[in-house]
Amino acid sequence: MGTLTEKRNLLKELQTSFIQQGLDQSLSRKRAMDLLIEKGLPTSKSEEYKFTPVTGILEKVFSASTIKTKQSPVAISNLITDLTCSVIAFVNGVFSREHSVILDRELKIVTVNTFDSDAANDPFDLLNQAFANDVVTIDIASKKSIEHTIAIVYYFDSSEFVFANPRWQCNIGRQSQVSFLEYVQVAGETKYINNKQSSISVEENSHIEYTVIQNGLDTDIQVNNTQINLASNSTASCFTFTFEGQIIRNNLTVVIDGQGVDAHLHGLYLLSGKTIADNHTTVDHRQPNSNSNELYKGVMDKGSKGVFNGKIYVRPHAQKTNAFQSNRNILLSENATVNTKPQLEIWADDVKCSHGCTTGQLDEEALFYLRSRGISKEEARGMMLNAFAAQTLATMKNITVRNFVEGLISDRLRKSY
Amino acid sequence: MLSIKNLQAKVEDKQILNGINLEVKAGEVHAIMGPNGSGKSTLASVLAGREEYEVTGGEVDFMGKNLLDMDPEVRAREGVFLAFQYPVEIPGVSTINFMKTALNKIREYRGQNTLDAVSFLQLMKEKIKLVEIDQTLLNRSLNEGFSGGEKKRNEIFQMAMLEPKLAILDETDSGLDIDALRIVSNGVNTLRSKNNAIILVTHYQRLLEYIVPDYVHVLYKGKIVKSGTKELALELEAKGYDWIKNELALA
Repeated sequence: MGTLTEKRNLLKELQTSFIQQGLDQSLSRKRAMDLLIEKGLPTSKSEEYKFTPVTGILEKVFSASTIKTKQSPVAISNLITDLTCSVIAFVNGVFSREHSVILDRELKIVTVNTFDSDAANDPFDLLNQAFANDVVTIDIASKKSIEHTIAIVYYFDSSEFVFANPRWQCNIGRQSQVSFLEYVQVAGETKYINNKQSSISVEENSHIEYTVIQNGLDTDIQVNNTQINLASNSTASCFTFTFEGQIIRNNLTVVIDGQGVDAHLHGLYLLSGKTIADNHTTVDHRQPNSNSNELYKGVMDKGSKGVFNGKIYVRPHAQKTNAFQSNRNILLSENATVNTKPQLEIWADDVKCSHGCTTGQLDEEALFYLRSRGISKEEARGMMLNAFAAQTLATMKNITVRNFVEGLISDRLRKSY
Repeated sequence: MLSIKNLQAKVEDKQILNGINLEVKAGEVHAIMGPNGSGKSTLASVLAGREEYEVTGGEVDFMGKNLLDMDPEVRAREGVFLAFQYPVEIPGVSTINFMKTALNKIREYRGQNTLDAVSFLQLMKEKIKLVEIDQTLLNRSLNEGFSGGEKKRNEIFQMAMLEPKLAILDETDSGLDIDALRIVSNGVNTLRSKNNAIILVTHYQRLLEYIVPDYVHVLYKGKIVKSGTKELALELEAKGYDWIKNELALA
């Protein structure tokens, strides 16, 4: 146990670094730092972060040099080789035009450096605002169907620890359509914390598919703050797949700010080793007559830990809301754990909402049934886990990405379990 | 084909089988009857290799090999088939995929070539006629949302696909109405041949009117206490299991 005198004052060091960074000290950036000092970073006692000790790690690894403002050259390869996609590249946390590829003329990329600190509801968002180089803004006009998937890629290539604060936002006009794919690629054994902040604003009648694949090294530490705002008659399908990492924290917030919206939040975490994967989701129904459907599933092996926290808000005005949430977990080892917590707050009185969570072992009776027909134990387990996992990506429209993820799932189930 | 000698087994410290002796030859159909809790289903489970049952004594020889040494999947590949009393629902695994995997595993083990999708479907179409199952049912998740009768027919369909040497039907008749019982029995009778053997585990004599056994055994308190031909089943039906209990109490 560390004594108080040994304990670093991380916030103070962050503040010193902030001043030394030489980043444009705009009012909003300063405001973010001030708010962060005021509110502090979450500790192991903070309810929202009690399972994901990111601050503790930052205390251990942080120094001014962990924040990169200079980019290093990287060799870039596609994660999914048969997917032709535009690439928005961040190198060690900093946006790199040089490494980005824009395939569709309809994509307008600009960088800005103003933030809305008071709207931040997560301390890591404030931290990001203080240290983000700039905000990459992707603008998609109305009535545009973007042909190629937009890959948002975070490359890490450094001999030193990297503390990265990439930030992007996307504004999608009316009656447009686009799909996103987000992932990290690590050169060698680069260690990093990726404190990412992004937001997607979807105007009326537009449709997005947003897929996150977390399949890097067992040293990866990520905090992913993602907010999606949906206007009337828009749809969003979100998929979050977590396979590897040290600590992966995903905060996915979907704000339904219109009628006739369909929001789907799907997640799958197949964990092993000592990985901690923590999915905090929020679905905020602010308008009537919309639907949200959430399905998160996890398989935990060895000493891994899964966390699911699902908040659903149905505001007083949001009558005729349908909101469903389900979290299913399978524990394969005695040392694996899962913490699941649904949090429904419903102020409207004419709604259909349900939630359910289960945690169990692989069904022994089903396993025996498959084996009694000549299928080996390993294969039977694989079949059952595959079937369990497959449900989370069944509705994915992007076939290339879906095939790739299916491959990752079966690889994972074959190798690790 | 199957030789059971002095078989004893327990589950969670409860001794259930207390020395079973049974000889089954190719071409024979044996019915095992008995009151609830006599150990009928335990016997079926032990033969199929269910792991929560611990064999505490005795031997089981199947086609010259020690059956008790084998994992459940190996028993299946060697030709043992258990039709489950309660077939398990497995969401996300379609019957077709499951059967294709299982059949090819067994064919591989027997040194036969594996079937491609086309020949598998052909075989399947032929076999589903036996049990009058709708093909669309087999595209669905295994047993999920199936009626009781559909589940039992699915078991016999699987038996038809896998062509076991020894089929153990564990209360396949329970929960079936007369129509379903007739369909299931027809399926079993069609599969009956001089090369395979069938053990029918049942509580009721009704099934034996449709699948006529060569031998009937009565299991009570984990032992076979009476053996005979099909007439024994009729006598049991007329006199009830209390007849056996009383007879044993007197002896």
